[in-house]
Amino acid sequence: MSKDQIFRNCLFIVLTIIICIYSFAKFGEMEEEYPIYPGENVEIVRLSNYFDGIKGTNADTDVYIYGGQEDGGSALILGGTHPNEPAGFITAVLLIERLKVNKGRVIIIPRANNSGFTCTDPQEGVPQEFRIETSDGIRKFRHGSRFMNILDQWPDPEVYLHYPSGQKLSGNERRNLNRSYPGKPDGVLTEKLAHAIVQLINTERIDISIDLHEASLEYPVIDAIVAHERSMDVAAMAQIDLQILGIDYNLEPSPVNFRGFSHREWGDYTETMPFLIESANPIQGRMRGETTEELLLKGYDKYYAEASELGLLYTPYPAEGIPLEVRTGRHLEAIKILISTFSLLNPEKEIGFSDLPSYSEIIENKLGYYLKTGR
Amino acid sequence: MKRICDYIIILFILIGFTATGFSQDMKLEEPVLLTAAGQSADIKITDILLKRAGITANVVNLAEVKDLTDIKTLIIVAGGSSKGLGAANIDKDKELERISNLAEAAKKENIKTLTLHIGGKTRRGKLSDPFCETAGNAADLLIVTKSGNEDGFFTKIAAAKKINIHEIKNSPEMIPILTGLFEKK
Repeated sequence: MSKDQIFRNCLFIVLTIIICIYSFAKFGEMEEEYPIYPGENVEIVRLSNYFDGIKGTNADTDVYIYGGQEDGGSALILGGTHPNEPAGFITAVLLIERLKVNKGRVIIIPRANNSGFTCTDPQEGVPQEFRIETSDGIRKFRHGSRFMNILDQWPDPEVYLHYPSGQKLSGNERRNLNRSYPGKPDGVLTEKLAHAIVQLINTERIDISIDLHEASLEYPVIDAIVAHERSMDVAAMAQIDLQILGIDYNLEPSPVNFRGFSHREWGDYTETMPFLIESANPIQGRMRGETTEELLLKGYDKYYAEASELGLLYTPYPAEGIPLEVRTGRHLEAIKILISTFSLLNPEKEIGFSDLPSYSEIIENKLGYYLKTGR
Repeated sequence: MKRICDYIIILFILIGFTATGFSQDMKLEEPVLLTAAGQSADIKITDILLKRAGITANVVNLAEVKDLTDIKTLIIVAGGSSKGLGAANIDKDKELERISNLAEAAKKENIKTLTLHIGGKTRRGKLSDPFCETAGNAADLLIVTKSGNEDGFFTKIAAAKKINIHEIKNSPEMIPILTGLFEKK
């Protein structure tokens, strides 16, 4: 072997080591959790309080409980079931930092799949974090994976058999929280996490539960409220009221024969009234081009604009894109109207709240205006 | 003389409009059977809007010909939902066949058919369009949202069938149209 060859081989090995160290360090950074700054009169507990089978694991997560002066109903709001759907997570953060409850209780879990915030989906090239400018500086937020981190639950089987239905799905879906309900106390970690959330719903006697999601624009269930049959009256009335406000949502029934979803199993295994809300997120879709933080925040992609012109999308794609403000504003307005409609139909379980911005205020003032600076 | 000719031309234009797009709507009567073509949850929204308009409907998601007994108006809510079809445990072809049979039976019994499309753009496309076409062709009157008719899909059906079509911005705008059609106060 010539000196030149030895030099090239050594150079190759050194570069490989440098890339590995850099990648390892970047991956390790995902373990750092960026803070959330809760408002007043909040009690923060751990989800493992409801099922200690997840205690000490990466599935355990913070639960924020806001209680009012007066008795009333109780609502549960889940963000971060899929940590690659940022509008759901940011909506939960905004609620935690702004919400004031005067009647009943509102319980919020912003990182429902906490483990999924510690990694991204392989080969997707998505950013690990995104930044939002507040009145007093930049705040960072994690952008994670649809699934639980494989380091927390390994290996994936060839076929995932849902418990208890026996429904078959592809193996990696065993790490998908929203295919794992009602969960299993002695199952794998995702099933234990699902069981813990169901335990919380039962223990806290949650009346109305809302799971926040996003979906790609070529997915038919988009800009939608998915409702269990028990939730359908509230969902339909809320959909009409949202339309009057100029916010279009489709209403979708929760399929009885497709198991594991929050909107199905929460309804079947607890007394709660479940809803799942989807907004349209271009960074999740297969048609997207460059996958950047800007795409995540501004929601504009030229290939999606072209796809829209060709009629390939299931939702309108405006020339300015679908920014995070629009997606978060839609979620927030839907939550407000769903809870208000529930309270109207169930006055003995009224949930009263205030201090949340409207859809148009979020669009006008931008998200950072409503997030705390942490100082 | 020229002015008289102008008046005559304007009169003919007005008569032309009255005979096509601006003709008087038919009046509809209860009892009403409400069903979905494509099993979307828009049927639930429609039921609430009908109630707000003071109209009571017998809601049968998978209505069959036998459900038309004593019915005077059939309302079909068009638009496909994969979740809805799954929930109803029916496939696309059987759903289309059900709607065709129902519409044919309604026509034989002189039952008026009102077809609604309130789901906008999301309820158009590969899954929804066959339901929209079948339900649209069965209609004596159409009420559709603008966002679901951007390509003139329903306007073309209405023109071909020479029936009236109401374009609305959103589903709540349907309430005054329904109160008018059913002569409710």
